[in-house]
Amino acid sequence: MTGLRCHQLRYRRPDSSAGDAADVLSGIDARFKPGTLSLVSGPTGAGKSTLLHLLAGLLRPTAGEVQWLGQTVSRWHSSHKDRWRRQVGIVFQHQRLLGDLTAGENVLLPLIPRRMPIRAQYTAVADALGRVDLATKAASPAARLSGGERQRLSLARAIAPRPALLLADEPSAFQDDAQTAGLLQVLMAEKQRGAVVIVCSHDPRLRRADGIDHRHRLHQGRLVTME
Amino acid sequence: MIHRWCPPMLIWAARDLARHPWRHLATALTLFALALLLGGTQLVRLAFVETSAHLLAKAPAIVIRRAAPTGWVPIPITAAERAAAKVPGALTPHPRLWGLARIAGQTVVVMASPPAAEPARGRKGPAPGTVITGNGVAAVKTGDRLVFDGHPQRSLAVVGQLPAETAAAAHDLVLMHPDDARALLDIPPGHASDLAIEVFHETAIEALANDLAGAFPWPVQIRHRTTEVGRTLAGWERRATLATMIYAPALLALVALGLTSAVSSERASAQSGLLRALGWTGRDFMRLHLWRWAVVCLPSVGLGLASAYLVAFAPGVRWPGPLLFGWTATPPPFYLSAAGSAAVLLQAAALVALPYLAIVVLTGLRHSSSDPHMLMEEGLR
Repeated sequence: MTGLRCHQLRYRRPDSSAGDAADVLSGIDARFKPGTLSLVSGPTGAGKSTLLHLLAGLLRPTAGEVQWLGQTVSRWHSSHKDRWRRQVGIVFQHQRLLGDLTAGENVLLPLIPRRMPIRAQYTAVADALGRVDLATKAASPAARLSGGERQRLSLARAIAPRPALLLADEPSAFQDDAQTAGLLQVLMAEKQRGAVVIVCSHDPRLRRADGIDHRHRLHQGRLVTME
Repeated sequence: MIHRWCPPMLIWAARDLARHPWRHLATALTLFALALLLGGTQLVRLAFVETSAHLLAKAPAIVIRRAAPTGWVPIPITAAERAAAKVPGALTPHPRLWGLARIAGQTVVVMASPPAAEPARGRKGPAPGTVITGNGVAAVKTGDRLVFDGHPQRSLAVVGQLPAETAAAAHDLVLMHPDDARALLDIPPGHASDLAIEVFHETAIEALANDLAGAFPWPVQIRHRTTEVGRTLAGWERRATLATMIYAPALLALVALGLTSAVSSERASAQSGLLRALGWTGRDFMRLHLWRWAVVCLPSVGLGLASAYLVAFAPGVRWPGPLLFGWTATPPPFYLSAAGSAAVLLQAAALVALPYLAIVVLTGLRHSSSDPHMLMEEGLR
């Protein structure tokens, strides 16, 4: 059993009242294989970010399970999930960068606790920044970057540790067409490296892009596979 | 180059601390001050207790004075020695000639050297008409003449000074020939200031003191070494306790401040949530916080304790004179004993560093055990 699988995944916000019947997500069944790029689209508020957070182990599902390589990750203890998350690269919709740190330091963050020589860490940072066209911004504080640069920096941070599972939430936000094309190239490269790549976006440019293996749509809390 | 030898987590801990330099500098200064205050208090206490005990160990086991309604009167040497000889266990009774005199408004301790009044028993001291002085006596130097107040005034030649290392015991001491001391202190021939007695074993002191009290044909005051040691210890314990009372609230304030910031910092929570989303484990957080503790706490506490050590044991320190004993005029230099200071330093280091370590560990535990999504959301609110 390889890749990521979710089975009858359901999520209701913990602060929902008993009478609030609407689940954010319900009955999500999907399989994401290594070396594939999947796109999950849907309107704002459809639950795309929630789905990514569930897949990354940041949220605990109300019911159902998330499996990685046949292991039910969603049932793991928090400390095991923390360790598993080292295989996961995540691009948040709101970037979640540390603004007072430089771009390079932000990319370094996921690498610090890993058993890597410092020189290798710095090489990985430089490589990741170069791939998202931010090599010249390595020493700039993240807070001074533009919205598009910040989003690309978030992608650089996610790919620097060469994750086996890459989850990207609206990665093309604030990007012009050329930058979006460059970003797609990065995602393709990750897919070709063998990673499971899942992108959530309502950007039509991504929906039309070539090289996407599976297209899903979130509709009323359910995942519909388009192709 | 430095990066090659430093663990990445240590570099990150230092970088993380540098993001809020003033806050951590204030913490470091507080820890430094606490270590200096607590270590200094305990080391000074230890130094004076050790030095006093060392000096008292050289003092006579029992000293007997003849009591009088006015205080004391000279003791007849022959009768006193005979009375002491009747008490089994009272060894080598020896009369001493000493007292207080004034030189240009300064009170000094005058002592005959050799101490026995008569005969001199083979020991050499200053020749008649000459004195050897401690370092704090009226700013005189060898070759000067020392003029004692009184009627008539007496003038003795200074032929030497005691070494500075003896100042703790002999700062205001003037050693002179027994004949000069007798004349200056107005003690008649055949009499002495008191009678010093040695004992075979320290444990016999108190019992012998009781026996000696009844052996003399006149009322006597008896002082013995064990009570003097006890009094000295109690005095220093009292001083140290008072000083520690200042330290305790300061430490509590530090703990409260640390706990408050650990619990309430939403920004720190958001950062921890993000780092956990990026693959940091609880163990990584503990490593980070322990490195942060090491970077802030160890140098501060180390410097604080080193300063405390210098305050207490730097050769020739003069501050204890005016501050602890009220000796404003020519305070003596102290050369204090550092025996046992390692244990005190360790204890002080533990008392300052461990509460801060507890705060750090609690913060690390909180950030490593909470839900990462919730921590990130806290930071957004």
